Amino acid sequence: MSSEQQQAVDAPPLTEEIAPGTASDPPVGGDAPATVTVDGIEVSVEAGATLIDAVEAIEPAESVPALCHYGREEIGPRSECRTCMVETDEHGVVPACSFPAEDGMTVRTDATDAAQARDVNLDLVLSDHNLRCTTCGKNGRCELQDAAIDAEVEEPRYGVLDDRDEYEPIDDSSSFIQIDRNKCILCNRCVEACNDVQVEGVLRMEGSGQDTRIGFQSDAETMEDSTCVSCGHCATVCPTGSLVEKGIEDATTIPLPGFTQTNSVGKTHENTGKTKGPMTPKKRTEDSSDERSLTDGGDRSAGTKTETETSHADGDDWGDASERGGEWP
Amino acid sequence: MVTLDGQTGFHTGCSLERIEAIVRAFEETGDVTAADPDAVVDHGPGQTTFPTPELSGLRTGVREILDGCGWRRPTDPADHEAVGGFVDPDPDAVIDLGGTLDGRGWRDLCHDAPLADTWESVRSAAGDPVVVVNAHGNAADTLLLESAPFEALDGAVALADAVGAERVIVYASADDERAVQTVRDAAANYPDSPITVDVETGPAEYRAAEPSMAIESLEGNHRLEARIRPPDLDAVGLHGRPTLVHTPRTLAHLSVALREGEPAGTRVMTVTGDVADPVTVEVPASETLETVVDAAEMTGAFKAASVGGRFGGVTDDLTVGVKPDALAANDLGSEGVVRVLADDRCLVEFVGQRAQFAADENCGRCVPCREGTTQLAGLLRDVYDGGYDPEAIEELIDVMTTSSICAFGVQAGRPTRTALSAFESEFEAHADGRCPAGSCLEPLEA
Repeated sequence: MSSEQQQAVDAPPLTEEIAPGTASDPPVGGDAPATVTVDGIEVSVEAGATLIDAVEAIEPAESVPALCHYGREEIGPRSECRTCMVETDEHGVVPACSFPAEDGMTVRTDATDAAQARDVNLDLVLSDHNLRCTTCGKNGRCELQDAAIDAEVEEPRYGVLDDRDEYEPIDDSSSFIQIDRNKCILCNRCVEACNDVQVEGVLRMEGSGQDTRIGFQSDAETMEDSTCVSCGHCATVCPTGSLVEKGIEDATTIPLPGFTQTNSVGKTHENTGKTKGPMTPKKRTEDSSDERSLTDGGDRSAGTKTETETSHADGDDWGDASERGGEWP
Repeated sequence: MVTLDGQTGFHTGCSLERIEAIVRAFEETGDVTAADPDAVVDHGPGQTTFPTPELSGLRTGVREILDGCGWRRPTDPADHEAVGGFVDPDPDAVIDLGGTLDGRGWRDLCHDAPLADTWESVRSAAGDPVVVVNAHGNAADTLLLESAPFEALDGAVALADAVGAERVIVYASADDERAVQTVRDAAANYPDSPITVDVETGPAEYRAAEPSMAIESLEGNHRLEARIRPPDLDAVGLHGRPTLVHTPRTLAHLSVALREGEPAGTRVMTVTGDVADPVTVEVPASETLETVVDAAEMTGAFKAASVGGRFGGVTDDLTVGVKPDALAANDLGSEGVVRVLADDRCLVEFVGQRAQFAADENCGRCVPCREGTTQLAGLLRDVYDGGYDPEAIEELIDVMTTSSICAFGVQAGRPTRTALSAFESEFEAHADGRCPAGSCLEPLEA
């Protein structure tokens, strides 16, 4: 990792080469220590705090899931899930996880608009999540599951991701970490753990719209072909069953004969058995997509499809001049 | 347009052959009226402003901001100087004028807000400020760069000087090649100034115009997504510097106000959609949408207008004023683009396409926009199957509006929200299996 830098003194620091695909967010904390009132309770927070620090310091009137919030190791705030919206007298409805705590602010978690926003956004997260909890290794220790239970979700407004044709294959190609993107809520914690904490530069956010996904900076298609050093930090920070350590991927599933996570999804990238040299961060192989295997995950072979969507072109067709709308209906 | 010695002949809708004929006739006779122009205007020699003829599209409104378009040579600084341009104003005078001007368009950091406070905060902030001219994706802004780039540049340089910025960056879509080339040439010809003017391009995608994504693009990020705010770009922008992002329209208003001593008080608006040719006109802010729409020749009977750009509000009421507060009171947008829809257009189809466009083109960062636009398109498709649920649609749009990170998601539900209130019966008819415009149910059943 340091050999490149030693060769060329003028080389930029390694972090400059890391391309996580995410925006350069500004620092978001408050400038000074602040006292804010949350649901009628005065809370003092330190400089650099956001409103979520004040909300978490008390027992708020209503559940604030703040799903993508991590609040440790300088990971986040990503502020993408918007299940932390709260009402403030000063700025209206704001995301608690990324809004600076300013002295004198008044915050309510039970205001109608904020509660509705958290509620709908949680359902929107669920709408794009494979909710087969009984075949998931994170069953019982999943932040999304906890949030849904706390929020007393019985039937999500927009359903859940249960169309097998829409499932992405499970990436079971690494010996150490499994990726199931059908459970990913795009909280970006893994990308930050990989790039900002471990400085490995393996994972990135890629694509846009519904094609947004966690991918690899080396353009590899599978974990096995990526430059992953298997440190496991991504699996540690993952709030759901999207990134789990191998060996415990079935740890908390409910035994149902013949029904497993693998065949519930139906498509899997398996390990190729190929031996690899030691991983070098940012190593790129030109033919990284050639060797991947795609196998049927079980007896429900109808779900097997060849994955073709590897590029996530940004829709050049939609130039402004045309002023066209999307395909309809 | 053929002009000589204070007389100009106007020819409209010319083919290449027709232009050749006009040039030939002029060369043979030396008479600007030789080729039978559609209009002739007599004016003094040395005319510095556009001699407006009585022709459709050109006679509407006034010409303060668009004055140079089509008349002054775009990249010749002498023409801009001849109308009093390149004033070297006192920084305080610039900031003071900012109190009388507002930001034009949603791609402007100060959309519909007075400029002076933001300018003042950037001037007093630590760090080297930057001025970004965001010309991405609006027809009037592209027109200004193509036809009167010095109006935008003059305003930008005066502003940079006033806030202590050493650099102006013009940002435009890579697809607007002519605008990019023209403003590059104009920047190269700009009179000596301590301020550097660079021209950069970003991808043509709609979202690349959003101010924080414009900054991401200028920083060279290979993938564009919105930044969280606050703090906004005026505090932490391009490479962490205090950054102003203004549209060419905003800066042209500043440029004109600097040489005239007062703001023009006009709105530059583009009419597009079911029209023979899209037109960009400038009208006094006291005018209504009707005046603007009348500037273009519609290709069918008027049914509705989508006011405020791609995610504008849909209305059939053109008596609404063009001022931002009047538009906002009617849930219409102030982007300066009015798309007219003829009576064979189906509104359910129209807003469905807008929702699908939003679902396809969003950056993918925040849940209310990424997942919300997808669900919105789904709820609108459900209308065709009899599953019309206006409360569910309104609830979803409310949440997209209150909790999306950037203007893309905040605005994405507006076409549907406004159509639901102005054209409710069309939605109900679709739920009953009938398209009143007869345009979208037939193909579905086939």
